[in-house]
Amino acid sequence: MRKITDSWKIELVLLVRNFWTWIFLLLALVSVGLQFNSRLQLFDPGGALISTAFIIQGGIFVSMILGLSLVQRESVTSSNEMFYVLPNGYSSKIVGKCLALLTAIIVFIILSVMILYFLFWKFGVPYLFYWKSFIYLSLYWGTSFWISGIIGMIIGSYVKSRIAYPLLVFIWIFIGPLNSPVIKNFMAIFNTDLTPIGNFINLGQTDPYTPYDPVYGLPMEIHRWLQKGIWVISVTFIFLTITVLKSYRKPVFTVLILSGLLILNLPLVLLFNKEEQVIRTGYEANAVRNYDRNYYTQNTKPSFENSDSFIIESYEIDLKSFRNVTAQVKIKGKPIRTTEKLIFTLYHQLRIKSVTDENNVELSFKQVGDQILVSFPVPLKSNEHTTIVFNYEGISSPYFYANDQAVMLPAYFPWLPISGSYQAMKAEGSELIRYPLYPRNPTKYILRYSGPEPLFTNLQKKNTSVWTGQVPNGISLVAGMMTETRVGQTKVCYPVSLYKMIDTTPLYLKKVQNIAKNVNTDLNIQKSFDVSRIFFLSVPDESNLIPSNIWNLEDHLIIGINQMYNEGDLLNYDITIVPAILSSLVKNHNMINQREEIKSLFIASYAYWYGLKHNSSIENERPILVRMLDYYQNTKLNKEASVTKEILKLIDNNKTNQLFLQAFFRDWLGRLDQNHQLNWNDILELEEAAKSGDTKVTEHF
Amino acid sequence: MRKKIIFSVIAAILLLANSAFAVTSSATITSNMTGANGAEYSMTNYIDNSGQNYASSTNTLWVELYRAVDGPDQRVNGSLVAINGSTSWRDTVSTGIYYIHLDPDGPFYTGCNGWGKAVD
Repeated sequence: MRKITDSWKIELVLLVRNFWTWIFLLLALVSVGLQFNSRLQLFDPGGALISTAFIIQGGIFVSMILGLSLVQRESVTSSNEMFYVLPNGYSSKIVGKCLALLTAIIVFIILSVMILYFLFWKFGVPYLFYWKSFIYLSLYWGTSFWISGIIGMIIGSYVKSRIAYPLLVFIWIFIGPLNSPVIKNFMAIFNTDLTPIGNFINLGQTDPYTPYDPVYGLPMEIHRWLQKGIWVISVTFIFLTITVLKSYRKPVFTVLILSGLLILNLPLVLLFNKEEQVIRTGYEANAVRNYDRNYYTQNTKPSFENSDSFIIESYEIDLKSFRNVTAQVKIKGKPIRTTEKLIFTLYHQLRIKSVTDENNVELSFKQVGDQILVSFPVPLKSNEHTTIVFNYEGISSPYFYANDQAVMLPAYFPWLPISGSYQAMKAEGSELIRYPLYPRNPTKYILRYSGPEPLFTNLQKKNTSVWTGQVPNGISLVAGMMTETRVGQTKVCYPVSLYKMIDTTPLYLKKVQNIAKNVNTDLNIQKSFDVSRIFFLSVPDESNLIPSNIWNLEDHLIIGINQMYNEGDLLNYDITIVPAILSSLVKNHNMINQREEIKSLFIASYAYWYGLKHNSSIENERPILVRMLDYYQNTKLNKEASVTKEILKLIDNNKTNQLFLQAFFRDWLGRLDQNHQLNWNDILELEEAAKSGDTKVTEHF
Repeated sequence: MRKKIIFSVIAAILLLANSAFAVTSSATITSNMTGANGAEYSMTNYIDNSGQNYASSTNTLWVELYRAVDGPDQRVNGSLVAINGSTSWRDTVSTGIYYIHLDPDGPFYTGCNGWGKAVD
């Protein structure tokens, strides 16, 4: 043991006395500080960490060179033979070198953490980030630099010539974040998807270009720890084998060490291959931007015909969110008419394992896509209370995740079985739109939950793991880098990283309440807009054409945000608020089934009128309707352009005639709310009818 | 004092000129290219993004808005455009340097003829 500690001390002394050690350390810490500072100036603490891909890539190289130089030091001075003749000399020297490598990595990380903490303190970053960033740096920097250093030692042990350097450069390209642009070339040449291999050998961030997700937080899923674990065990044992072979030359030891490698790695490999939701943001088929879009482009219609004949009265949910989602959901309800088959909708990656009745008798079922057809041995009588228990497990949508680090399951996404036959999403052109899928009647819920905490939901908390309540439009669950506060009477759940945005929330709440009241009056909409409970979540926008980041679920609002909301006052950016509120108030099934351009034209037109009426148009800011017209004209979409122009003209010509425009918009909304898809000619007819004074006014929603 | 007034007038003119003309980052792509970037401009609040993938293309095209920052640039948003299709979307952004990026779908693929632009 003493030999090892002496060796370790000597290696450290040699490192400290080396001029280049200090130069490298200084340069590295300066670049680390500058990088952290640049993102913190944008009030993006998460971004400060995930943007360190270049630092990791550089750190991997430096660690490899350090490992190589440590192991070759004695060869360079021709003193290595001496250690072979000493009892345990070579092995003690090598262990000392490994400890020196580890010490150098730890010192570098501690110094980086000190710089980061100082900047966090300077920019007022919440305390949760202090702890999370330390874990993040341990995972992405610590393990990566250790693995790289050992690889450098392995190469240094065998390759004594200068060829070791190009060899290290070659390995370096593939084991860091740089590997994705390099591997892409191979994929293009061989026309095969090498992304899983690329991701596995990449020790750094898998997609450095993706912005920080304020709800999901820093990507540190169990999968990533296991990947690093397999790497650490493999390279360490390979290096041990080499060391033992060199110092003892006994094959028995080698066999023992290699067996240790297999035994220790086996459980990690088995766990690594278990199902887990890992959020991918690159080009992979299962990446956020690809998976659902591809699926719903190919699967446009439900597998079974809609039979909306079962009213759900209550849900009793046992939900576990760990690496994937497992749930037992007991549904109580009654069929509207006598039936022997019921159809439910559940996101297709949540696979049903069993369906039983209240007596635990198995019911036959068929799950195809987002639908489940449940058959009963004897027909259910009309209005007869029935209990159905679903057991399911799987991976949620990449947009609405649930794993060991975060949960974001909004009420409108079918993570619970709902009555009827629907698709969870609709792909239209380049857009992906979510259907508003939740029980549309007050429903009782009992939720027993285990997973990342604290959990935020629109139910009442009963004890540490049970939530209950009756809600009008389903339940939303959120956990991750989230916190909760009160703004006046409003309970606000928001991401910790949006610590500056929260200061702008009181003004925003005042604005949205006022605008929602005006919109309801103008369009005679009967839907409430309750701001008593708000969730700021990184949910996707529902339209490319108009701002649509609000979901109104009557007892709670979900407001879509991203990390940029912490930088400027984007929450109170007026041009987006009216369309977002109107879009949230008219989101129903008929409206969703309307073509996106037609629906957006209505919302943008109303927002344009609202701006004129309330003098709320912003100076030098073109209204959305005008922007839409510009786009249609520029892309020579003549029909779209001419209809948009006509509507714009109609509003401009009648801007002083409030009653006329009110009737016009009410009529338009009434037609959108019918089960008939409008086209551009219908809009022109509507406009003509308005001009001739033939408008029908109805009550909506 | 006179100098100050002159400088203030010049600054005001420059500011007005800047706000009066919308800045545009645009890029075009041809079938042998693996990607194209538009020029970087300072933009704020509301950016109109659009793009087109011509009928002569053999691949779908990602039109993406990027923010130029220290370290790896940030992909703000993107839209996949089918062959012979077009796209348009808006992003609400904080003040920063942005550019449009065109990227044929799939890993490092080519085969797209089209354009994209981001207008502040």
